[in-house]
Amino acid sequence: MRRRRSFTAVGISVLAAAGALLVVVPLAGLIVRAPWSEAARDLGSHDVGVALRLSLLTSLCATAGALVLGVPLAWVQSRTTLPGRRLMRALTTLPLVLPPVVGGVALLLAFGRHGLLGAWLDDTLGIRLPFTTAGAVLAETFVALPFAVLVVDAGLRGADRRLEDAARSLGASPGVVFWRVTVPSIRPALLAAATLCWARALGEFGATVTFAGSYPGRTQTLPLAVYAALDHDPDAAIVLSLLLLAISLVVLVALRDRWLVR
Amino acid sequence: MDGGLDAHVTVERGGFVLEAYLAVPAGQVAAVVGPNGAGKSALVHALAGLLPLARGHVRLDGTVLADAGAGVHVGPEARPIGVVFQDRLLFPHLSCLENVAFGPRARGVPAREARRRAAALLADVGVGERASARPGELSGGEAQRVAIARALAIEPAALLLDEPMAALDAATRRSMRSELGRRLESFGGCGVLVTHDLVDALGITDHVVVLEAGRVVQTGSVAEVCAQPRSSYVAEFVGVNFLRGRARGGRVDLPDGGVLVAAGAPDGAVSVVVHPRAVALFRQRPDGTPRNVWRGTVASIDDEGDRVRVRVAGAPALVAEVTPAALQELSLSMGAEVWVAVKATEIAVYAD
Repeated sequence: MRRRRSFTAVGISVLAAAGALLVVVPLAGLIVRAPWSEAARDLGSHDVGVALRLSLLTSLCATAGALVLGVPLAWVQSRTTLPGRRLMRALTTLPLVLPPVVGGVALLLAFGRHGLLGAWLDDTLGIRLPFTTAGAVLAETFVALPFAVLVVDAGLRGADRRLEDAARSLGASPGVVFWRVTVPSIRPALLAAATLCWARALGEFGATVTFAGSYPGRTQTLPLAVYAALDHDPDAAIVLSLLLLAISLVVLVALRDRWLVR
Repeated sequence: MDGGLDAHVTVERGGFVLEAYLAVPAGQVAAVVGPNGAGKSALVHALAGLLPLARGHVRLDGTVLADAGAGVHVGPEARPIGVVFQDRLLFPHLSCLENVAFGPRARGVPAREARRRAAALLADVGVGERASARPGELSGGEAQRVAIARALAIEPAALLLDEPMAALDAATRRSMRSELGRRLESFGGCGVLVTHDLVDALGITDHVVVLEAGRVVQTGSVAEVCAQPRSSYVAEFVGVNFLRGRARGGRVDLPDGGVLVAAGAPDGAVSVVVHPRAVALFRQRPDGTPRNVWRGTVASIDDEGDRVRVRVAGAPALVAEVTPAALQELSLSMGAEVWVAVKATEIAVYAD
């Protein structure tokens, strides 16, 4: 009996160590193999600057988009008894588990030049989304939206609804209740949602490359630039990867109080 | 009835059904009492418009606020009703001033004017210096005052107070009770005081509505309600010692010749409430602090399991509640002579 228990303990320890190594070794490789002498030069280069700016622009726009669309979705799902809201909840969180490439293909079929909406957008408004910066934003919004919905939904369910009753009894219209009571009381959830959406949008690759392509200065965000650089300039790819790692670390530190320490 | 609040409401929430009626003449206060779960908060929500009526109506000063039969439901934001909620429900992210200014602003008063009014109200309820504090920084009594100011800020025609004393410590409770009485008296509209403790109604109103299991089981004055209990809740309540007398200088003379010394008793005709738990029994005359000590004889002993109620004949006659262990220690039996002691601070006295 004791033998078996010690076997189990050893087995668990070995697997845990392997799990830790799986995460640590690649990160160590990134840092060890980084061409530190050229890192400064690469980071300062025009190409990196363009990709970084584009990444920040598209990811921040996507964050805003995901919140603007996600908060009302979360509100409808948590505060109304609308029929079909459970199905809607399942559908809006689907991109979380959907392979991003599939998302990209789906976006093409919807917003491509011959897509369900894309053809109409092109014909009547002259708007073409695929292979544009707006298309990159759309792809990033698509993958970030579930985070906004899930986190804000949880925040709304956890909020004290009696405060909203109190506001209504004081004469507040639904709009006033929402902006002056509901939103402030879910502020932590909104911040968490924004951070998660932004991190997800920043790292987005599959849907973006499928729907928007990889055009430097237009749709080639940092992750796409990393992939493109691996072919002809592996050192640059490593430096760009380090940059993304640094950004991820900042996000992690920003969120540590919320999720990492319990 | 033209003025005042007239409500007959049926509310269904989950499996719970509340069916209650309430009539409060303009300028008067009714106390809705009952045990927890009786439906008191549901009644408040129904009157405020936060719960739809399944049947019935709510009329205030002749205006129909809700009539289930006619399909009328004025939303809570449009009702001239101020609510002091259970747990107060101050907005935690706003300062006290903004909490009180919230109502007027939501009802269209310009921000500057709303804040001016809020500051005046906060000063009026005695927490003017806490205007910039967040609700989380307040004591229970201060938060209660802010909640009352917030409800009054919309200049309501009716004020609903849901368990306003529940979260307060004993001393704050006492001062809040008398202050609330004064405030409701000067408040021109009608008031509804909801409480699980009938004592809270004393000194504030003599119009009591007893609610139990979603039904009104009794209405009347405190004395009427206590004289003929019609519910286990009131029966339990009658368990308190309720006396009437005349007070002068903190001394209450009772009709049976007894005298009680009570802290802060107002002069004049008074009601006296002494909880049986506050009545101590001794075989020998106790020495020490109790101001009220007299002799009596044990008239009855009711064993209620974890406690024993001992009725002691004397002047005055009171019921004491002791533990079975204490009963054994005193070796009390019917007809035994005992000393009764009650601390002056344990006697609640209210002007009639």
